[in-house]
Amino acid sequence: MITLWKSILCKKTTWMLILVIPLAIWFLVLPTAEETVNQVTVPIIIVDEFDQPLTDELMNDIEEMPFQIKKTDEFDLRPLVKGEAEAIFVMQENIDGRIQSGEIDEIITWYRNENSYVDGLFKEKLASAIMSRAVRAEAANLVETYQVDADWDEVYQYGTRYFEPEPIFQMNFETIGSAGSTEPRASDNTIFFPIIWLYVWLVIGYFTRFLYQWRDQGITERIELVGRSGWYYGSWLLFVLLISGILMLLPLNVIGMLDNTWIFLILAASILFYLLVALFVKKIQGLYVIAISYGIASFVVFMLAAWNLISESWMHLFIPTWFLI
Amino acid sequence: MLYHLWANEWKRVIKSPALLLMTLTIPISILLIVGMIVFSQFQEEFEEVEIIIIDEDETFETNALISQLAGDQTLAEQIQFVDGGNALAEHIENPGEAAAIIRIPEGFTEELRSGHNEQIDVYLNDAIPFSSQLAETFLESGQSYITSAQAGVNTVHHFYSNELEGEARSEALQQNTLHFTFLALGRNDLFEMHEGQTGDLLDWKHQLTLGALMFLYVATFILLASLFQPKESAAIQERLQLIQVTESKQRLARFFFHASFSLVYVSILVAVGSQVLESYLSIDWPYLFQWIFVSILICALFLMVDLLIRERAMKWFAFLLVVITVLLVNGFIIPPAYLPAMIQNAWLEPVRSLYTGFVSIISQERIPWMQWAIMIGFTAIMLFLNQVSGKKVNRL
Repeated sequence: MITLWKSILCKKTTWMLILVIPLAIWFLVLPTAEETVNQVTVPIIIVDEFDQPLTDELMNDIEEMPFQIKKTDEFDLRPLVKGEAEAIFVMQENIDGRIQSGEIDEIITWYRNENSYVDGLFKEKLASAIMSRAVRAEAANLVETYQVDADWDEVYQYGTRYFEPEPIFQMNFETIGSAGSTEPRASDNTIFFPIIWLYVWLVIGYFTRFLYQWRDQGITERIELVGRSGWYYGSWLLFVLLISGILMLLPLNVIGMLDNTWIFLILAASILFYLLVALFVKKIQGLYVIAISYGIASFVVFMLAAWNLISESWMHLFIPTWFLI
Repeated sequence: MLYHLWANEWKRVIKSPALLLMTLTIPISILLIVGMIVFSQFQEEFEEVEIIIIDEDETFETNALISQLAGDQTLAEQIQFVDGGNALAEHIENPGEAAAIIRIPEGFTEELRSGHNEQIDVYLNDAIPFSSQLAETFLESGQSYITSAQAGVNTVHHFYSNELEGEARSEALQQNTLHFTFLALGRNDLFEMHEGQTGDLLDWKHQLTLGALMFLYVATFILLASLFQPKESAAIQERLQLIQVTESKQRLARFFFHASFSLVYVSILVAVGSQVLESYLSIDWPYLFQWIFVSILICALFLMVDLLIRERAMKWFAFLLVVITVLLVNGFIIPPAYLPAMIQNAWLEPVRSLYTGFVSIISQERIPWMQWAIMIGFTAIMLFLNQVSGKKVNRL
């Protein structure tokens, strides 16, 4: 028996699968991918030919992410045509004066193209920043018409208290599930679980291949002859449980998802699944077909369930979905 | 000799029809299942987004607020407000088709007028995620405009209408509420919009189609190449070496096998795709050729990884990384305009030929000779490297 395990551990592939590739993903792929995703931005150009201070103020008011705002003083449509900018906003002359006098129609020219996807979101933010000034100016103008002795600046400044530090009107968003209970949405980390599971699933598949190889080489037959087959499968089970357990629990521990008691059952069920396939499916191609189909299907079903697109009871036929119970 | 090796690869495939069938159907079924579920959700939910309003305050202001939300030009077209009476608990227990439930508490107007921050509760229905997401975006944008309108009303009230009495006071308040509501509502008038056409971008339909077809091709290729990889057997290698079949020749034969499979596969893919999506994807030769060059380049990438890395697990890991990186840099996964500036650098331009070729065919209706030359060039270089490696080292 020990010789069999030695032969597994002497293979380069084994170490690649259980050590090198997980470490490479952890230290190389994940940080790079995260950085790239974080740098995904929506490029917006703001043109102000008159270099007005209000433009800078408005830009300060708008949260940078997910936008990448570039300010220039020269109007140029080429970046839009070349797809380098999602939209171009051109500030008209004397924008501050027009807001103060209440003539706010078409004070900004908005150039977009038919393929701009999310520039409307930026427009909303820009409009909201302008509107917070426009209403205060309008209020000051109104008060001035009613009361000649009113101080315009005083009224204009008074209005800021409704925007800072907290806007006067806020909504409190809560989520209700289909069952009616208030429950949190699937957290961002949830995506990691099926990925880790899929990897561990493939690694278990790799170890199951040895069961087929040993059968082909007649090793299994000889072990059965000496009546040690229980020992043989048991030690395979233990060995795989140990390695896949480490592979699964370590990363889950790092991202803080180890508190789910179903993890151990998921792990055990996945290994048992393979053992049953190995016992009843004779051809190794059958193992491939079953392992790949079931692995991918489980991944898809898990994601659909995590997004609440399905919540049928049959989905628990797919082992990783137990995680969501 | 090369021909026999190539034919042998095809023979192995045809001998295992079950495995081949799986190779072909798994990617398609994943795409279909995910696509259908997402699509049916969209269909079902986007017919109309229902928001239940429970107005426990029932004042002139809360009515104005509801009509302000309902009158929003940007999103309100699909949104319908339903009066929910006073049965909050009942609606939370059984939200039905409603995407969100808004509860305006009693005394809300009074608090708002005195400048207090009284929150409105919004319950988003998680059972219909797309609609509730839309309702959330919609209500979030509503927040800032209602704040603006209310700031105007409150300011004027503080300096002017506060000092009035009786009828005149409430009349002035109502007038101001209407005035500022319409002012804040008319935010789209701030902009004069021009929409132009562009030559260097793809619209979302083509972007989505390219993404889906690329997923199908790459997933099928990976399944094919992994399920039908030759057995690692020292004895067979020894015999092949004896008859002058070097490893580089075997790799080349495998490349031709992958390339010929890809040729057939992408042709069918494009033909079927143009049938299904005939409204915007007409079958034309440049589009097909672009796909063929792209797929053959991917086959050559596999050859290259195969040449550099012997160990199997590592080889697959490296190939997946390479393919995903190439597709990401090109813009198949995220549209190129949103990618970090570093990736959009000019020196990466040749690497992006896989995508820019499609752009020039679809958007500019121009045949991308340059991109084709670059892709053929890359493929040729990789094939050449394979040949050179075969001559230098005779590995076993």
